[in-house]
Amino acid sequence: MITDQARANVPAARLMGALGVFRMVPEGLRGVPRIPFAIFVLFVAVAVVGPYITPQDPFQQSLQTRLAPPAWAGGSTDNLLGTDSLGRDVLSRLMKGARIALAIGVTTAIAAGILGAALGMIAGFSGGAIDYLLMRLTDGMIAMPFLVVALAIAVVLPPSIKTLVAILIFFGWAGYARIIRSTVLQLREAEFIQLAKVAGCSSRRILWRHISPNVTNTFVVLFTLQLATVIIAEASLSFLGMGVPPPEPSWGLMLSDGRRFVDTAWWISVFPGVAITLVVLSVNMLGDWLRVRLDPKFRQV
Amino acid sequence: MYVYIFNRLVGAAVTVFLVLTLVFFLVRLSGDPVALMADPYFDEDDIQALREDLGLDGTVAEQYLVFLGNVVRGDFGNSIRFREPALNLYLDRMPATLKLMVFGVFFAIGLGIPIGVIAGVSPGSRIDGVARTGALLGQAVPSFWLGIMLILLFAVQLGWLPTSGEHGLKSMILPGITLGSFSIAAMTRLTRSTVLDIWDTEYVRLLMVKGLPRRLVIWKHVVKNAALPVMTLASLQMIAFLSGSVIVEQIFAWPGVGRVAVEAVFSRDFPLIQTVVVINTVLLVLMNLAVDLAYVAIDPRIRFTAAR
Repeated sequence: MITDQARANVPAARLMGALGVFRMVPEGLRGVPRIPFAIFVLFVAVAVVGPYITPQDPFQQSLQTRLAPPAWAGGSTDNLLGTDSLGRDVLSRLMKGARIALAIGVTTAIAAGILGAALGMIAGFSGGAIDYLLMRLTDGMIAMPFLVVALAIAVVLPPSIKTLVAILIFFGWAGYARIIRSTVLQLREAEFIQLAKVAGCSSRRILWRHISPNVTNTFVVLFTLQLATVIIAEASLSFLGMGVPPPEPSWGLMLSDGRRFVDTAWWISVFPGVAITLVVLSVNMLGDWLRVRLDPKFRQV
Repeated sequence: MYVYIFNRLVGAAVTVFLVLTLVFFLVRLSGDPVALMADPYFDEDDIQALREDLGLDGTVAEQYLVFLGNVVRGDFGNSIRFREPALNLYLDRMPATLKLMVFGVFFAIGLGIPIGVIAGVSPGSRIDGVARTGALLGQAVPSFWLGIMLILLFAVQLGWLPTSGEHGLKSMILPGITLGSFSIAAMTRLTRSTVLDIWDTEYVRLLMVKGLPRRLVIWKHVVKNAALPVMTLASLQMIAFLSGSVIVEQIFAWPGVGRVAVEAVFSRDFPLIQTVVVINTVLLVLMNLAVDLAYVAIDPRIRFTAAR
C-alpha cells in the first residue's frame, strides 16, 4: 500500500537508486581492453591536469634553444622531447594540445549528439512529412564534402576555437540523427511503447520518458565513434591552418609547423602524430568494445 | 525501388542546394564581393558598372537567382588571383587529382582485398591478427602524419622517391599510398567480414565437400560472392579520396584540385573557392548516386524491400 510516508520517501529512494550506479562502474568495466583504456585514461588525465604541470611554458619562445633535439638524441633534459622552430618545448605543447583535443572533441561530440539525437528522435517518432523532410536534410548534410566546405566556411568567419567547434557541430549532427532515427523506428513498434500510447501518454511524454532512455546505449556508442572522428577532423583543419589559431598548440598545428623541418628536426612532427594516432586508436578500440557490449545492432567485425 | 531512387535524387538535390546557398552567403558575409574583384584604380562609376555587369546590383534574392543561373551555365566568374575563369583553372588541375585517386584505389584494392580474403578464410590465424591490427592502425593514423612520415623515410632518409611535385610515376607512389592508406583499412575489414560470412554458408561447404581444391573455392567462388559489397565500398572510398586529396596534395605539393582549394582559401579568392566547393560537391553527389543506382541494379534484394 502506498502510504503518505512512503510517498515522501520516494525522492530519497530515487537518490539511493541513482547512487547505486557507481557500484556498477567496476562491473561495467569488466572485460574492457586494457591498453586502449589505459591510453585513454592517460589522455584524459593529461588533458585535465597536464597544463598545470608542464615542464615549461608552452608559449615561451627561446631562439637560442630552437630546434633542439629530444633529450636522448643529443638535447638537454630541459626539453625532453626537443623544441620547435621558435624554441618552445615540444612536450609542454603536446600536453596542452591534449586539453585542446579533448575539450574540442568532447564538446563537439556531445553538442552534435544532442542536436542530432533530438532531430533523429523527432523524425523517427513523428513519421510522415516531418520525417521525410528531416531525413532528406540529413542525407544532404551527410553527403557534403567536409574538408572543402569547412575550409570555405572557416575563411569567412573569425578564426577562433568557437568557430571551429561550430563548424564541427554543423557537420557532426547528421550522423547521429540517422542512426538514432532508425533506433527509434524499431522502438516504436515495441510493446511497451504501444502500451504507453494506449494508456494515453502524450507523444512528448513517450519520447522523454520511454524512448530516450532506450536510445542512450546507441548514443554512447555513437559518441565514441564521433569523438575519434572529431579529433581527426580538428587536427586536419588545424593542419591546414584553418582550425585552432596559433599560438595554441593543437596537435595538427604542431604537425604542420614541423613539416618544413622534417629532415632536420623530425621530432616536431613525429610526436604530435604519435599522440593523435594513439588517442584515436584507443578511442576506436574502446568504441568497438562498447559497441559489442551495449548494442548488438552495431556488431560488425 | 523507384521510391528509393527518388529519395536518393531528392537527397542529392538537397545537398547541392545547401552547398550553393551556403557558398552564396559566405561570400557576401565577408564584405562586398565586387570591391574584391575591382582593380585598385577603379573609381565609383567603374565599380558600379562592374557590379551591373556581374549582375550583383539587385536585391539579395535577385543576386541569388543570377548566381544560380550562372552556376548552371558553368560561369563561376574569374579567379581574383589568376584573372582567368575559375572553372578552367579547376578543370586544368583535375587530371592530376584523378591520377592520384586511381592510384589510391588500385593500391587500396590491390592490397586490401587479398589480405582481407586471406584473413577471412583463416580467422584467428597470425595473418588474421596482422590484418586486423593493420586495419585498426590504418584507420587511426592521420593521413597527414602518415604522409610526412613516408616523406621522412623514403624521400629524406632513403632517397628512393621524390619528396614532392608531379614528376611521373615515381612521384605518384608516396602520395598515392598516403591517400589510399585509410581505405586499405576499411577494405580489409569489410572484405574479411564478408568472406567470413560467406565461408560459413552451405553453398561454400557444398563446394568443399564436392572436392574442389580449397584455393579454387576461395579465389573463384567466395571472392565472386564477396564482390558486391566490397566493390561498393571501393567506389565509396574513391569518393572519399576527392576530399582526402586536399590534405595529401598539400603535403606533397601535388598540383591537383585539392591544392587549388587550399590555395584559394588562403588567398581569399572567392570565385575560385566557390568553384571548388560547388564542383567537388556535385561530383561527390553524382558519384554517390551512381554507386547507389548501380547497387540497386545489381542486387535484386533492394528492389523488393520497402524504401527507407
